[in-house]
Amino acid sequence: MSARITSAGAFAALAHAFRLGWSETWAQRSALLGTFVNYAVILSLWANLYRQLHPQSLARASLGYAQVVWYLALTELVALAIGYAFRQIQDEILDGSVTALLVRPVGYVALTAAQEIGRTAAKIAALAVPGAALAYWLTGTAPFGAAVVPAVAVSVMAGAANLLAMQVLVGLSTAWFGTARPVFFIAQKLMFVLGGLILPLDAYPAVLVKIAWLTPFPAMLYAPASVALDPTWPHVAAMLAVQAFWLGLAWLAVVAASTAFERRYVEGGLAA
Amino acid sequence: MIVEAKGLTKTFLRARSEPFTAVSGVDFTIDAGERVAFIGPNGAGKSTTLKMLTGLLYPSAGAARVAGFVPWAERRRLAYEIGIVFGQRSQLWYHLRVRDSFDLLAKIYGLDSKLYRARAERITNVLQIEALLDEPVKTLSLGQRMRCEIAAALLHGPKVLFLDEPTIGLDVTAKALLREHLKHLAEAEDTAIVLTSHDIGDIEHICARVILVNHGRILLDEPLENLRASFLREKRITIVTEDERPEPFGAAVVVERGPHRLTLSIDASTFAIDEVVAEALKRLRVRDLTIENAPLEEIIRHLYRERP
Repeated sequence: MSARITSAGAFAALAHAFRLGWSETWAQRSALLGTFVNYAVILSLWANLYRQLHPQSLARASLGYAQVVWYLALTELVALAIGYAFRQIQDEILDGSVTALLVRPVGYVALTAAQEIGRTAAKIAALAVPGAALAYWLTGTAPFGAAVVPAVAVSVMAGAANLLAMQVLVGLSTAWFGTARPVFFIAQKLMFVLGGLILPLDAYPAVLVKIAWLTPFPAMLYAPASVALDPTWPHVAAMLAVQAFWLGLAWLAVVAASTAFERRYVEGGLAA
Repeated sequence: MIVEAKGLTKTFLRARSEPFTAVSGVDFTIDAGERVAFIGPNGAGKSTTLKMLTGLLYPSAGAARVAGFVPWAERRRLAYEIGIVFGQRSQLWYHLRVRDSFDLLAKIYGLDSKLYRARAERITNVLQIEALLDEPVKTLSLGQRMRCEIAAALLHGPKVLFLDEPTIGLDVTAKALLREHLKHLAEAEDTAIVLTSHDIGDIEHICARVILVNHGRILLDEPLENLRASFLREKRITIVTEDERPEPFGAAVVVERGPHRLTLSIDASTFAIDEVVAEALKRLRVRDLTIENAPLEEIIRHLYRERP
């Protein structure tokens, strides 16, 4: 059989992998429920902590209790939707299954990423509505109207795609370090702090904000959440532009790392 | 010919130690539809050779062509022509149903949907996995999973199937079933098989030719039957007797002696088998008698001793 896959065929394969990732996630209902329970616990706990803060401490950053809770609802939505996607790549490199997966007409990393984007999209779709309902129940208000939802949705997906690119890079680092865990640990902590997972960057000291904006982390978490809090078009456009910039750069880095990984593999570094 | 290796060599450079040559000047060819066992002890260079032939390793020297492609230079194009099964490693999607994995593979290889359905039906039928198609891969037993792995590797109609320890970890029944299916499929599809295995049963049941490697070099490249004939003059005669303790006789070497049972080893170039059988019938009250070649395992052990 001498069929040859075209670019359209490769895209169809990636789209199929996306669909499988999507349906696989919906099929694992208990895992989805577990993720939501985790989401709800985190949101409720932090909402209670925010409630204990003196209103003045948040007001300095022009923020109120409701805004911070909604902010957290969105950053956690992105972070929980991605989970630990790097593990699959790490495990497949370590147990050697990647060997057979590299001998395919469609690239290993591209297929893995497409399936992971499908999984992530499914988790976002599954968690968004109950997450929003919980945030509304905790705050009694919504900071944005229905008209802003499409922009928030695009920004959330862009944030997740940025975060996924980071996880793919972390997973591929296994080829050089023998494990991805230390790299993931560092990347995760940087993401928590510089991405503004718990508090908006607006509440950070100025110097930390400057450092944060030199990194891709705000594009992962702060950007989508801030789009919801400040849905004015100049802000939305600025955040989407930042996300697009880092998205392009991150996926270029993924392509480069994936090529380097395959080269390292076939030149004998891993196969020895 | 479907596989050709000429002077294939792989040397690994190692920090703070001498370079290590895993494969050294290997030459062989494999014809379409041939079933070849590529065997040797651990570290002999089998997997390294296989990785070079599948495009997963650059050689340090030499040349190879598989299905007309230079593997390491044209890996993506070669992918359409080869299938790979690693016994310990899955290429199916663990959380998905078997059917989903097959559908995705069909997309990956750009298979025409009609052709794919027809092939999938034929292969699943031969491998008897129709009932497993809607099961998630993670719920399959190892034997079931291996049959699905082989089906997955054959879906795109490869010209060469590389099998690395395909029966490892399987029980006796599952092994027998898998070997039977593999042989049948390879014959039906005219697919060449390159098998590495430490299980002599795999080699005996699937392959017709043996390439024996050690220290990165080919020690022997022979049809399995020639191997038996040239290196095995030894025959095993197992006699089941009425006598509780059958007495050995003649110059035959006793391999095993137990209640009502005597196994003798005969050098067929020195003794005529019919004379030994006649002697046994004369001296013992024989219930049953079987004559077999020595196990391939012993031939290989003998070869290693003879050609270290």
